[in-house]
Formats: sequence, structure tokens, C-alpha cells
Amino acid sequence: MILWRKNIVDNIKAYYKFILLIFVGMPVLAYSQKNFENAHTRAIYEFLYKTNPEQTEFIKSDLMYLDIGENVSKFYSRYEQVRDSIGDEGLRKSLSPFEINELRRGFARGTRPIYYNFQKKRKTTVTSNFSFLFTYYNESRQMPEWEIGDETKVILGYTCQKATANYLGREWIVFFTPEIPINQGPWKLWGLPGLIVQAMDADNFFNFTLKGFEQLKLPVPIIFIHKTYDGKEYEKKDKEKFQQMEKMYYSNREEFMSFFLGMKLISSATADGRKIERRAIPYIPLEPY
Amino acid sequence: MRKLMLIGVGLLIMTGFLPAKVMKVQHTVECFITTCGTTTCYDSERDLTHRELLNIYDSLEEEHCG
Repeated sequence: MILWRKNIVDNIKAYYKFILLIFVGMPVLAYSQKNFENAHTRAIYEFLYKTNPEQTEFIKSDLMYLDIGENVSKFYSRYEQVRDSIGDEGLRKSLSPFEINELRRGFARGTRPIYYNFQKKRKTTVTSNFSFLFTYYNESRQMPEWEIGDETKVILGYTCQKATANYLGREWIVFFTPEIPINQGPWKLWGLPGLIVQAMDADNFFNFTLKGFEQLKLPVPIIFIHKTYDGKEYEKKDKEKFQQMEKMYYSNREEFMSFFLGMKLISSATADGRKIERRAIPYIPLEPY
Repeated sequence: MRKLMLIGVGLLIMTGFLPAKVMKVQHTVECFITTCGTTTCYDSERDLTHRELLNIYDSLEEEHCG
């Protein structure tokens, strides 16, 4: 009994050592990637979203970091960053996918795309992966044509003003604060005389709300992740192709795996042997196709 | 006539017009058992890297187990 307990304690110790190693070892990952510059400010948003228009409430949530530098900002899921780091560390230790999944258990999933917004170049780069296909696209950064309204409200202690714009296929309603004179915001939203503190679409599918804001005291590099763990460069696509891939990935996974990855499905069954019927995975894109 | 056809096909293979259909392609079967008990098998045209296997496993976990 005592021996059994000791084993459990040892396992827990090993687990925490492993997680600690990941966070200590995080900068190591950066060596093979490109460091744009250091961020001077970080805004943290809660991202609530639906995956099906019929849902009456938000069923998914994510924690998004907006790291802002002089020339570039990076908007990404903190949850996915942690999961990726655990995955990379597991691969480095040659653990099996099953073992890596066990280590990730309890760490929430996030959204996969990472948005790099280049202020001066007026360019956005979006990276993501669909199964083991890692890809990215570039697009020019258009400024939304904001209509600034009179309505105000206080969010996180900041007095915010309402603005609306039809942008990239959706009607966006945002609240920005002139108290933070940074013309950035979550996702691809920008161009107001103050940080966007809250953003919602008119369909009520998405909601970004600021939960934290800090001037960074220690340098936080804005790293452009453009290579996989095994050194393969992400594949460049045009935006249309990227969206086609995304659409197929969610609407017909089997076809996606066959068409883009050369993986033909042989069989898929539940634990009791029943065949799994392939169906579309509920998903609403931020930017409609 | 038959000889001519064989020479023609040979030339097409050499110039790369008939690669996949004529040359032997090695296939690998990969099966993934998720934590919620589903088993999914794929036929791959090449050996996958450790990282690629993890990415497939992860997407199946997300799809089948939530």
C-alpha cells in the first residue's frame, strides 16, 4: 500500500517536473523561429464563440493574448500555446502521441490561427494548421470604416465608446477606450483612437472582451512561428485556398485528409465496434467564406 | 506494334508522365486509438513522422472525444 502511494507521489512529481521543464524550455523553441521584435504591451482577451448558428449561448471559450510591439502585433491563443509547448517537449522526449495526449489532459483546447499584424507595412499574416498540414497566408491590412457612436460604457475600469463597421464579411460592434491610445484590437480589428476593449458581431456568434492589460517590464519576444517541430517550413497559400482548406477540414474531414494529405480512410469505429458515420464538425469562421 | 507500344510506355515513364500509376508505391497503414475508445485507420502513401502522427492523433481526439 505504502509502495503504491509512493509510486503515485513519484508520478505526480515527474509530471510537475515535466510541465516545469516545458515552461523553462519554452525559449528553446524560439531558436528555430524568427523573432520579429519585443512586445512592449500585452492585452489579454476572453474569446467566447459559438460553433453553430442555432446555439443560443456561447459554448466555447479561449484566452487570447495580443502582444504589441513597435511594428508588429501578434494575436494568439494562450491555451494552444501551452498545448503546443507540451507537445513539442513530448516529441523531444520521443513520447508517443498517446502519452503526449495524457500530459495535455486538463489543458483546455484553444483556437489554432495566429494573427501577425504589421502596422507600418499594412499587412497581416495568418498561420494555422489542419491536422499535420501547417500553412499561412498574407493579406493587405484594410482599415475598417468605423462609425463612432455616442454610447459609452465602463469595461475593466476603462470608459469605452461604441463604434461599428462592416468589416471582412461581418457587422462588428466594438467598444474602444481613448484611455489606452493604441489603435489595435483583437483578431484583425484595428484603426480606432484607442484600444478595442470589447468586440461583438451583429449575429452574436463571437465576443472578445478585455480581461487584462499590462505594460511589459521584461522583454517578451514576438516570435513568428513558421516551422514545425521537425523543421518543415509552413506552406504558403493564398487566402482563398486557405479558406477552401479550412472549409473542407470542417465540412468533410475524410475528403480533406485524402485530398490534401494523401491519407485514405480505411475504417473508423467506436469502442463497441460500430462504424463512425462521418459528419461535418460544427464551425463558424470569423470571416465568412 | 506491341513492341512499339512498350517502348512508348517506357518513354512516358522515363519522362515522368506516368509515375504513380506504373511505379510501385509503398503504402503504410496507421491506426489511432483515442482515449474515448474510437479506432481510426488510414492508408498513407508514405511513412509519417512522429510529429505528423501526433497531429493526426490530436485532431481525432478533438473530433471524437471533444
